[in-house]
Amino acid sequence: MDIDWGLGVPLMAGPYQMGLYEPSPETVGFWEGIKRDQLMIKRCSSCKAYHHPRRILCTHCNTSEFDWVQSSGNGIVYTFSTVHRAPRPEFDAEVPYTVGLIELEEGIYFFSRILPPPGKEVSIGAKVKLTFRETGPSGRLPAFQITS
Amino acid sequence: MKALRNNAAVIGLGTKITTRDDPKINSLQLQLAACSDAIKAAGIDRHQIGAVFTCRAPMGYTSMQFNLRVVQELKIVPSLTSEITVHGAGVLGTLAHAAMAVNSGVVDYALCCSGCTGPIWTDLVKVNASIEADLQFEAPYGPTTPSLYAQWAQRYMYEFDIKPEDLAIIAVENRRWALDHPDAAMRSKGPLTVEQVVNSKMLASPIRILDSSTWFKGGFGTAVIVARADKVRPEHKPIYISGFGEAVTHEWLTDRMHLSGVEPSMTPNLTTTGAKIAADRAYAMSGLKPSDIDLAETSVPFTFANMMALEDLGFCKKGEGKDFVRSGGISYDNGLPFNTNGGYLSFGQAPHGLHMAVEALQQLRGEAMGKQVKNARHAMAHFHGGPLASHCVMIFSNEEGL
Repeated sequence: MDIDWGLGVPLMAGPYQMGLYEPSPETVGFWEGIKRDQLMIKRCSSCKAYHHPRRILCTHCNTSEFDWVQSSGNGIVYTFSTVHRAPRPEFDAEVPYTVGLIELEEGIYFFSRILPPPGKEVSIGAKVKLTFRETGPSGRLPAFQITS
Repeated sequence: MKALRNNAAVIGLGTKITTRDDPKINSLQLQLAACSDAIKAAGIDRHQIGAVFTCRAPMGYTSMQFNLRVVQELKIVPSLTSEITVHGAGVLGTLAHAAMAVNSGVVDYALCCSGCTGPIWTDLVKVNASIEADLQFEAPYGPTTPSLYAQWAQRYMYEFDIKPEDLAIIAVENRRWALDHPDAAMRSKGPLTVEQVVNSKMLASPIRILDSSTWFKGGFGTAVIVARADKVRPEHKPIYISGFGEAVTHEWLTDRMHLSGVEPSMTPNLTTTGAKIAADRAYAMSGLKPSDIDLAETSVPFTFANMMALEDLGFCKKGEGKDFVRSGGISYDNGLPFNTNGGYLSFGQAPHGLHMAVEALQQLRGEAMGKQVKNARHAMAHFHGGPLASHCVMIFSNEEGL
């Protein structure tokens, strides 16, 4: 498909732009877990190393067989940013909100929303606990509540 | 790798700028206009071009194989042609592939072209957040492009105790160079102060609007003819490719944290980028060291990333960027000439634009459009694709530098 945006064809804000397309085959287990309020991650069937749910090849032993396992949901804030200008109107109502990387107990990093207690600020190293909440136009997603 | 050192040169350079006020042209026209000038400057027949490299299809002109559009218009039959798709780094990566192609002996001349008119007609700010993020695991949370880079900034400032005022110096110094360049986007805005930067509007903490790049005023098309050294003539005003290196560490932010087993600096962290590996490779090929570099240009779009680049490109040690910048390391008056057209923050970001390398080439030819760096022999250009994912570093030398 050719689209010459240079000549003024408007960009469509379709599902593709929003990240809402159908789960892909290697991540089905993750999206099934969302329906049960569980954060599912991958574990190498061979060497038992934990991996991010999108991993296709075990970077420790080069095998491509994984089991889906439930994360404890415990972790710490590795880094974060508070968004003051939303990328799309669908997120405007939530501004300001914080997105960041959680270092999970299992040793993998997960990008998510970070929710500070009322009146508190997010900080690197803060302990977090998994929760689920409606997020922008995306539906129910994992998020992390600061507990310390 | 030494065999590649100074054995290929830029012998023809063409640039084409188009703005909203100009008659409407598309990205293909923009690039072909630059090709026309580059071919004339090289003084070769069109059919002597043996290789054609483009970067990925411009955002303003999507096609499945953009390089074939260019070849089709040129009506030539190259031995080698490809899109070089390492995100924004591919714009400079085309020259690395050209150098390898002519050095292999398969071709004598290679053409590299880039440029996009997209920013004139479309709102790339809205598009960007989703093309810079993992669509399943990052984009649904509503990150903006600045907030993805801010993940690096937050951790970098935390680990090395960097203050917003330290970073602001970079925006201030970039602006000083921009005031001399006729095409710089922020030239008309006048000089900048540290206070203005640290009090500007917050986009995504800790990144403020004056920590960020601005859009170039339009499309910046570039074409470069690269020839093997034995084809170079004095009238070409050749600029030699002394060394280059490329490094891709991830496509999306989260995956940078899952890199393993590369080298000690590349353990999971958000404080060292692939620019370090790319620069190490370029230095090794060139036989040069950081103190030999007379000017440096980078395409990274935020103040913190410029500081990180100064470290990763070898101009100071990791964690010492703030001291380097504070002590005048990139002072317009007497520091390392850095982003000598104003950089992404003040010259502006032109999508798929080779403008930062064009600036290096013009400086080495003594043809700077802004302030000329005196007696420059070696220049470094660093191009990157976001978020700090892919890197291409190239060291250029003029004949005095050989």
